[in-house]
Amino acid sequence: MTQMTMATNEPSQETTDSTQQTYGVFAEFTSPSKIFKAAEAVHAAGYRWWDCLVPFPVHGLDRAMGIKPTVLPIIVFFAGLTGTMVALFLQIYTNSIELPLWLLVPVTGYQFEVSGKPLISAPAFIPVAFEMTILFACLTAVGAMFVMNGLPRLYHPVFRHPRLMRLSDDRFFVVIETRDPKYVRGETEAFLESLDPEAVDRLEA
Amino acid sequence: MTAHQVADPRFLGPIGRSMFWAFVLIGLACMVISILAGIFFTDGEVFWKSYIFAFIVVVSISLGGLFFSLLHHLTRAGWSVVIRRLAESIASNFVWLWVLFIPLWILMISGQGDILYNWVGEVAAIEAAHASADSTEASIQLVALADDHSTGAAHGDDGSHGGAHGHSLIEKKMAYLNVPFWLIRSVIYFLIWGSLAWYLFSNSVQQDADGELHWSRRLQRIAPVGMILYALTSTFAAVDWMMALNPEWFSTMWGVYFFAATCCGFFSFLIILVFVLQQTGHIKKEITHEHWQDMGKLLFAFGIVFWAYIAYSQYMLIWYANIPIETDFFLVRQLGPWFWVSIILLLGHFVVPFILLVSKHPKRQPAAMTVLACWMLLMFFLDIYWLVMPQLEDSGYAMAKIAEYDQLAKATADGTISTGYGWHVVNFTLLGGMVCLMVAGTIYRLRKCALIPIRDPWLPESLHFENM
Repeated sequence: MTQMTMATNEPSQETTDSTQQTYGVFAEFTSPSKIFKAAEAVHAAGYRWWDCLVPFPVHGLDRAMGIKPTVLPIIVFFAGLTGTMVALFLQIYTNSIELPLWLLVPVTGYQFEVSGKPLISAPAFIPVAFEMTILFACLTAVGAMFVMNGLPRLYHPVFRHPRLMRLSDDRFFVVIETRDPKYVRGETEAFLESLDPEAVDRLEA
Repeated sequence: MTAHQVADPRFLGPIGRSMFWAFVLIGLACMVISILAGIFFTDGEVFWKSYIFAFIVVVSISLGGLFFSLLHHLTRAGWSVVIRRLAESIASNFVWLWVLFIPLWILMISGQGDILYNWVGEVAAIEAAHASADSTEASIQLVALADDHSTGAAHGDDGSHGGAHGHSLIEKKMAYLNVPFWLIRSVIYFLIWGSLAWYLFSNSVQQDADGELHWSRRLQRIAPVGMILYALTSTFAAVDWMMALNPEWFSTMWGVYFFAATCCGFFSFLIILVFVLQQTGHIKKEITHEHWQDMGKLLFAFGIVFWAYIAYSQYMLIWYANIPIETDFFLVRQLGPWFWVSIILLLGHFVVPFILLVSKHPKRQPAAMTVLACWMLLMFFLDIYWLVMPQLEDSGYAMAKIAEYDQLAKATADGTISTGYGWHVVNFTLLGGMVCLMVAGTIYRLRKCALIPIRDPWLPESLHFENM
């Protein structure tokens, strides 16, 4: 607790007069079990715009925080399906159907007979369909992960506070953002302090 | 059968005794029925083909157990410790499985092997021709033999198939494909599988007593060598026992295909075994939804997706090149009723289970996974059946050449030319008998030790395992 006052001293002096500049408040913990309990308490208190910052994966923390399963797998599944369809259309149209179409520019399929096989030969089209499925699914998985996480992002308020340097080493943090509807200045800080943290402080935006 | 009767859920307890005897009795009864039915109601071919089909099913499941145990030690895996003892027990069936192979040894030694493997007769004829004192006489005989072999070719201009040079393809394969070497190879397979399985099982059980690390280290040292031996022997066994049913045909994918089928059978069987054990109150806390999910992943990855990948790779290369000697295998499998079996395999072994299992949620539901595992086990049986049984009347290759495809399709559809299709009671009784005996053998091992390696150094890691 003495440490807390020490820490609050220097950075928060400036922020007191410019409240809208505050990104959020954080509480610092020393062990996975402590942050686990804190996460459960914050979740139970009904906060929504908050996160846990930990130096390594803590098993079960997602469940303690009440995070819903990601929708990424569903997006990836349909992206893969799209890849299959695009590949099959591309091959069947270009190799097997002489039909003029207008796809940005006028194009036409060409009936291309290969080694006496039927024009639409499913076995020949499967390798490309397979590869396109994988390609679409992979690129979508990576791309959607970036978009959903708001990446790439060059700056984040947690980079700025000196105490949060240790989040990549041996300390565990709970950060509640000020935009959370349940955030009340003073009360949220008091609530965090009730969780027995090492320190509580504001984060500047 | 209720949970509260189990004294220690880590041991099989008294229920193992009744289960063991039940499976032994059912298995032996099925075998006796099969032998009687085989003697009185079949020609030998149906019986022996059913026999090799059922035998390969039990060998596959046991080989899967061997593969999984070796893989565990090879990668020094942590999560799979709680299911490793089950895999070891399934694998240790190799200690006695060779007994079921004795009838095949007798068949081959007695010179009647031609009933099952039609190369046996041809090799014998070629050898007899070679043995004749007069060399000119021998060469005449050889030419006659080659002509006899490719009757169809004589009418056409196709010289690519043996006849032109006076040598049949079988003759060129004789250095490998002869009865003594076939017998020696099968002895080697069983020696390697039996000793590997026994080494894995006995070291693991000895660790239960003292929990010393060096038992694990011994197994980790043997694992790479064991894995190489496993890969070689299972490939060659697949070639010897299944591919040799159609001796002129070949596929370099065959060993891998057999491996994929093996994994499908083993992981399905393992999932069902875990479900039954948990339903009877065993290892409920030890094997969690996390382990269920991983067993589901392995069944999905190896048994469904990898199987389809290999099956398709084999099919596509043959389909694309379209060389008669290679297409022979798929020709018979798209004629008559086999066409529908092939379609069922495509949909039931890949498309439907792929869609059902691609998400992680069903993998974490033991009941749903068990239903799917039962289905995949049936598909695995059908897959092996589909590999072993189809056979065009006479030589498939010759038939394919003399007949136009449309004629052939018509003749096989109305049954004038047999495709080897026909459900016979021995298909089921032999399969049931051997699978029951294998289950009994697995339970016999599990009765002698804990259901999980109770003092394995990696056990705590496995117990606390979580998928991220």
